[in-house]
Amino acid sequence: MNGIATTLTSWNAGRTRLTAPPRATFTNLARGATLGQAGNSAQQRRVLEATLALLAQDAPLEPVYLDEQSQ
Amino acid sequence: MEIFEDRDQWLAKFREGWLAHWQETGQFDWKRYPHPKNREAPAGPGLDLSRSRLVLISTAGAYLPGDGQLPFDAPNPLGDYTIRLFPAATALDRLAFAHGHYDPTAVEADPQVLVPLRHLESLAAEGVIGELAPSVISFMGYQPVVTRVVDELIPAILEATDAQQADAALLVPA
Repeated sequence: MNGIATTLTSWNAGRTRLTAPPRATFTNLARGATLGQAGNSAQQRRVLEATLALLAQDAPLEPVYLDEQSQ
Repeated sequence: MEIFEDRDQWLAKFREGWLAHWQETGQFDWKRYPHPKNREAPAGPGLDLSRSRLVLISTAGAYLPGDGQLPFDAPNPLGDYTIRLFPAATALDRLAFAHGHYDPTAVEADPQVLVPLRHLESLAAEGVIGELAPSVISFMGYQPVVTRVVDELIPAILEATDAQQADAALLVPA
């Protein structure tokens, strides 16, 4: 199977790290609200843009921690 | 490289531990669950996203009931390994979610917390993303049988990404 360039973001750094993803951002956001708080478009965009930006780099990358909180 | 390292060892532990306990008692004991581990991450070149087609892959259990799509089998204790496709242009208020393993309050109030289609459209309009793939690939991320993820789910996802000629994927787990 051939893959394509992939990136992800997760609120669960511990479990996600175990799977060795090629590119990832990790946050302190909540389960069920992976990209940010409901109604907080600015936060959602920040997480999204930081996660997509990783696609420019060759994989594998060390995961990037984002200072994004659920409250 | 292997998508899932130590597959046979994982399956033996899963069968002897979590699965056997559930079959005997009907109870989930997540302390018995062998979380999958890989040592080697996939390698590959980066790309210029502004010249690429991006596909969104969501584990939120989103589906389109108005188009006759059936919900995922959320109550199934052994998970659901099927996918649904729906247009990236879908109005967010047409989506429904069948998952059962996360609190849906946020996604029901604002679907973009898990399915950021309007944000991705904006990023495409701004030139950050070349274009969005026509369809979102959606599944329900409660899938305790990892061998079924490898044998059933991943081939279906790859078929869908190939059919859309996607260059890159954004995975948003729930």
